[in-house]
Amino acid sequence: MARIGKIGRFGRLMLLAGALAAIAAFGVSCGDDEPDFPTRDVEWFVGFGAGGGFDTASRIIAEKMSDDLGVNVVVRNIEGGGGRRAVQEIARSDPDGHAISIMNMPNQITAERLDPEDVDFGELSWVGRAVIQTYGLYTAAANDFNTPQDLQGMPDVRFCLSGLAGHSFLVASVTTEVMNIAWNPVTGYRGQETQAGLLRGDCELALGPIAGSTLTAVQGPDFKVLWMYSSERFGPVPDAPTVDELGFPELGGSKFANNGLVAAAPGTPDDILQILADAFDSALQDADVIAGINNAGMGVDRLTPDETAEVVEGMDGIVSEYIDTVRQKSQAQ
Amino acid sequence: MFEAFLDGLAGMGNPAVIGAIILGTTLGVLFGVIPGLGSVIAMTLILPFTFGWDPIIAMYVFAGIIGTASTGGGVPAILLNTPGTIANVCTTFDGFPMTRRGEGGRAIGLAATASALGTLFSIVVLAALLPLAEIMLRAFTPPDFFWLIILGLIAVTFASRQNMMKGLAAGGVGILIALIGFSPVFGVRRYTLGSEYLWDGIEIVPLVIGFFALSELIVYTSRGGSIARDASVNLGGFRQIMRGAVEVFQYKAILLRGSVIGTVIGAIPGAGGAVANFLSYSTAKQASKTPELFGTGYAGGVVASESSNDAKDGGILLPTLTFGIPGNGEMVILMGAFVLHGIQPGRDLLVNRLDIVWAIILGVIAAQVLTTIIILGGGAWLARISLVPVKYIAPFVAILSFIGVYAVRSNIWDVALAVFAALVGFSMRRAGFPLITLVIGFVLGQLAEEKFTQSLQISGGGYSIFFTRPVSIVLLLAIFFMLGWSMYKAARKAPAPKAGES
Repeated sequence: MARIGKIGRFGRLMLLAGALAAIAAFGVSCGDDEPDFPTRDVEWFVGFGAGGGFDTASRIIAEKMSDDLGVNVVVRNIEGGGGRRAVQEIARSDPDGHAISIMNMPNQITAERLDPEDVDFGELSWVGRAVIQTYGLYTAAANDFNTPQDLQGMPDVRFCLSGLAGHSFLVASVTTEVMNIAWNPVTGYRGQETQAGLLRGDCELALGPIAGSTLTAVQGPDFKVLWMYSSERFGPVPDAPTVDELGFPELGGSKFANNGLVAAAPGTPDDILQILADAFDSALQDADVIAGINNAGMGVDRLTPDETAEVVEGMDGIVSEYIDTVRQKSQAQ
Repeated sequence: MFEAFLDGLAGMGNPAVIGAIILGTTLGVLFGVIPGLGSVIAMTLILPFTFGWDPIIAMYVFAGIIGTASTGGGVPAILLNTPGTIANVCTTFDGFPMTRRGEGGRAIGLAATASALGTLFSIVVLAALLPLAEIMLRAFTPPDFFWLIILGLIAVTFASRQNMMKGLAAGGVGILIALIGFSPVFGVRRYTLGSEYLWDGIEIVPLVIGFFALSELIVYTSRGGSIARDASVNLGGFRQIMRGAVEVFQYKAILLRGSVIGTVIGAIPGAGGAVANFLSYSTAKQASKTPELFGTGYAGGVVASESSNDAKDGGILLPTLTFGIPGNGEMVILMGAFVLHGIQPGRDLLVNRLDIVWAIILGVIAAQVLTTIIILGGGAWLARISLVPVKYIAPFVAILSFIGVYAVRSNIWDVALAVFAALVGFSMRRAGFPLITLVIGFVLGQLAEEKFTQSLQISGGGYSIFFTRPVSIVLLLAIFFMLGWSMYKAARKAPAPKAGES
């Protein structure tokens, strides 16, 4: 023990240098550490009631994400305002990554434009895309019209829609303007009430995501899809032509698809966002998750956070282009 | 079809099926008894757990919940004046006065048996009507639906005949409250006062719990004692419950009418158990030779309410199974379960997956029988709640109510709304305004607006659509008949003018 007390000046310097190096190395290694996230359960907001397509997909993905993150990802239904309450909730959440929300886009952008609530979708921290649902236009099988030309010859075609503020109303407004079809909305049809409306003759046409129970219905003998809003044939309904094939490519691509995009609060740090995005992306590659989402009639088409932000920007442009058309038709009612 | 039925029946011996029915029934009774929760929340909570289960087993669990919640909900309606579900509201009108008379056990016996018979009736009708579902669904167009709602509103207004002006005023306020919030039809917000909470209007669960449960608590807490006014009254135990169970058959006409109304209203998407409940109760009162007994602890009132709210189960399954058109929240969750398990409602279900159809039908029947046994067997024990001093019960009911209100949407403002509704309800009681007319105005007002608008949009603005469809004409005739009959009865009751009076 006595020898330890007899360290020379050089030895002391070396010890000091070693200690400083150790502290520095420790500091560097602390700086490289993963952020302290998650420290508690992560809440996943769904702006719709339990049992719907987005809710089902959210619960399937959240369960897998829980395994990756090591905490529970708890789905919380915050219904209201056609999904807008959940958007408000995430826009106001703390930017610590412990709250994320799935939202139907570009529906939320349209609603925000028609009735502003100061939500800036460009400010949200985008995690990725959970699901995509391709829009289609369908009718009762008993109706004898099939093409845009058939519809152009009719006096006033009635569309069964949920209301005058949703994405379906925007798609209907744009479609009829581009195809030169005279039309009128019949509102208040939610979910599968729409199909009952078509069968009763309340309206001639309906449009919406061809997914879930709507997909089931249009695959049956009572309904037929007149066209899909895509540039390529839609696998589950292969006989339905695309708008591109019908000569209206401006309505094609995935411009009018219904996207289930997932966002965290504005200002969420990049490293936390990356952890969320990794867990989210990993869940979307899981075979059971994909099967579950496909069973629910939706598709998986993964996007990185940056790609998601670009998609949102593109949607914003489309809504801006057509919002006046929507507003005019809405005010005419 | 018969073969599938026999297969389903044989499958009920499977221990997993028995376990599923017991699980569903337990959840249904539990969530039904706790005010404000109900079957939708029970089904929502169990839904994700069924992912990966055998679809048949999952369907038995859901059927168990569907078949039991409103039966369970009758118990707190009778004993605590707190409807377990919205479809049990009318049970409070007579069930609770019976409890106050010390006849809670009898009321439970009446309710459990009426519920079981109502369910069995509707399920038999469901099985018989499955092939005719399409015709029924096409028959009810928006203008028909509008007249059906008007019929309901008029029936309820006459139900508060002893105070018609106050009843009309309360109903009008109910309709106005229904207009609050975002109107998806017009895409505008109305009367929201800049509050995000009011975007979706006033939630019915906090409103009803506040009006009926919490306002009653204020009354009882200020009075003290026990819910049954004479705390020494013997509720009669099992014998009294069985007396109530047998007594149901003395009200055959009310039972049959309630079962038919429940089944028919249930089959109309959007109408729901609450509408069936109110319509059955008010129609029973309207048709009764002793309408003054309704609301005073009349056994027929309990039968009218409980037979209809359970009979809606069979009716509501009809459009869901045949067209995949869910008529209420329960069916939306069931549809979610179909989607989760890759089941396709509609023709495919009725042709290729009859095992699923029968699992649901047999599951509802088995759960209803099990619930009836539980409630009849445990009713004596449950009935004793009404003898416990209010000072012990009040905190329990208050906490239960607040949990129920909060659990629906996890929104603390719903709790605040329930408290506000309790104070308004208490004031209305004291001023003699019927709360129930306000609530029915609220429930039906929004639907009436939607169907009225839809009708005009369909016709391009022409009002003739309301008077030209066969079902509309039948409903209009029913409205005229009801109005005429009420006026005739009122005229007969009015004292003859004395000589010399003009």
